[in-house]
Amino acid sequence: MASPWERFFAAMARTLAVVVMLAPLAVACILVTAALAGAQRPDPLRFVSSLGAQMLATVAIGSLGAAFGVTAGIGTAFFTRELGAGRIGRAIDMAAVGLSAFPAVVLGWFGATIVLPEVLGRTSASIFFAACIVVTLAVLPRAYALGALALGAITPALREAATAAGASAGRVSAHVLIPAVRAPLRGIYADGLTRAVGEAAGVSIVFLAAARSGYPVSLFTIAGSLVGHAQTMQVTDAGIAQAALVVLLLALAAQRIGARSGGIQWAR
Amino acid sequence: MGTVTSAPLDTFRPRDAIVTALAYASGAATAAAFVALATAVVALGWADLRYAFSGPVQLGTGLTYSLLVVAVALPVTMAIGIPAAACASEPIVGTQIRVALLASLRWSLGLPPVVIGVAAFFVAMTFVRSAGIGAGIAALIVLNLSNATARFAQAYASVPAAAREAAAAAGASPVLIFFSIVQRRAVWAVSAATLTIAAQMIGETSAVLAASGARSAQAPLPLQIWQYASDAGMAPSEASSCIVLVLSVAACLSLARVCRGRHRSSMAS
Repeated sequence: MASPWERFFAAMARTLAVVVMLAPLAVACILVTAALAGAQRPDPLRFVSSLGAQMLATVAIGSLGAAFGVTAGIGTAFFTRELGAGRIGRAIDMAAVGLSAFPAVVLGWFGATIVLPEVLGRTSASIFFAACIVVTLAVLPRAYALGALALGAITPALREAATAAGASAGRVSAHVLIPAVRAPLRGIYADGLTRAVGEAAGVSIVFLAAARSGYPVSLFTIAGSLVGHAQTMQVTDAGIAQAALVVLLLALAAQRIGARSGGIQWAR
Repeated sequence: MGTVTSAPLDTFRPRDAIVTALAYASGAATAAAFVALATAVVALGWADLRYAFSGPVQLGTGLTYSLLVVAVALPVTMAIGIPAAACASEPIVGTQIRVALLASLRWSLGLPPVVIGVAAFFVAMTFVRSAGIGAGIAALIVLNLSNATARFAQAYASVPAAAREAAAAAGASPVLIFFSIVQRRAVWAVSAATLTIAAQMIGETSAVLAASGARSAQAPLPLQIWQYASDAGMAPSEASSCIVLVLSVAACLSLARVCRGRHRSSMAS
């Protein structure tokens, strides 16, 4: 028979587990309530047209950033774990791990101060390009860590068998390891897309810097504009809640794609 | 009579070359990105680092607020996350809730921080009529609850099942096994998870910004950087703040790496 203290701990642990489960649902419920009953309501026609344009920008920047960032992250994992042994491999591993120490706000500063002025021409495309680079840098370290985990989970016997049959490291990677980790790789791409569409701090800095420097800022990502409004929000704005719900749905859709294609181990 | 044909080409070779080239290019691009970022931050910010503590960015105040936010948010997150992780990793403690918790963790880890920040802002505006750093702390806690639970559960799951089974065979209760075997053996892994979450909290901008706004200079360091980062004239002082922020995050991540190494060696021995 368990002591009262042990029963108390088990009950408390279960209650807190329910709190952890309900917290994300509470966030969704708050946003739905605010979207339906917010004090400030935007003009529906203008709101839908502006949200449509922002959604296009969000999906385009998110998809491109995720595609480049995740591909570079996974490619680097293949390089450090399979192809580039020795000091170079270790140095690049340190660089990839080191990138994870740069928070999104620093990446945004980099995009606004270094990348944006270097891109040729003061056009919307320059801003788009700088924002894509920021998202790519934000997604890359996590994709690297997940890619390295996926490669580490492959049984060594598979590599040994292929090597014994005379396959080079490149051939083992292309014809043995990639097919073996296909499902996790799809999951990493979906995870990257989830993070990329929700990336706000870095992208908003690039857009604000472009607006300050006189670039023609015609598009904003939804998450970026949400953060951009942070300083001026004073009331429960239904439009902001609806925009946040769209970001949430985009992130959940990307996650759903990842889960259907095999998914990845949670937590990293 | 059949015709003589040439031997089939090695169809493997082009794919080998593409994968190898992509891996090398990715490695080079990652190294270049790291060098470019580090060089830009250091080259622009190193000279101003001394003056940044007394300049308009108020680096000292920002750092103090960052530490204050982490000092409040991290213990609360741990206090909820550790028992919840016990539910996730120990079937007898978690019972039926365990399956639902694991399923919930799978989808709740990808919630965009800005969305959580906006929700915290709305709650603060509805109940307190003003949003401040308190709303930011609440957003940080909600953002990291799933993440912390998942990391702690992974740490506990890394303890070999044989240790649990031996204790159970000797008559120990599940809660006793959790505290005397699992917690003790996973102490380095739990430390690594805690430091990683601390690093995430120090660098987090979107959730805290959306929840609290950045209306005054009395804000954590990432919010102060965000406020002035789009101003090209302040690039050097911003770079100094970036150096301090990156070093703070890197220190936590490095310690986490050391703890993870210790855990691995303690599990191997």
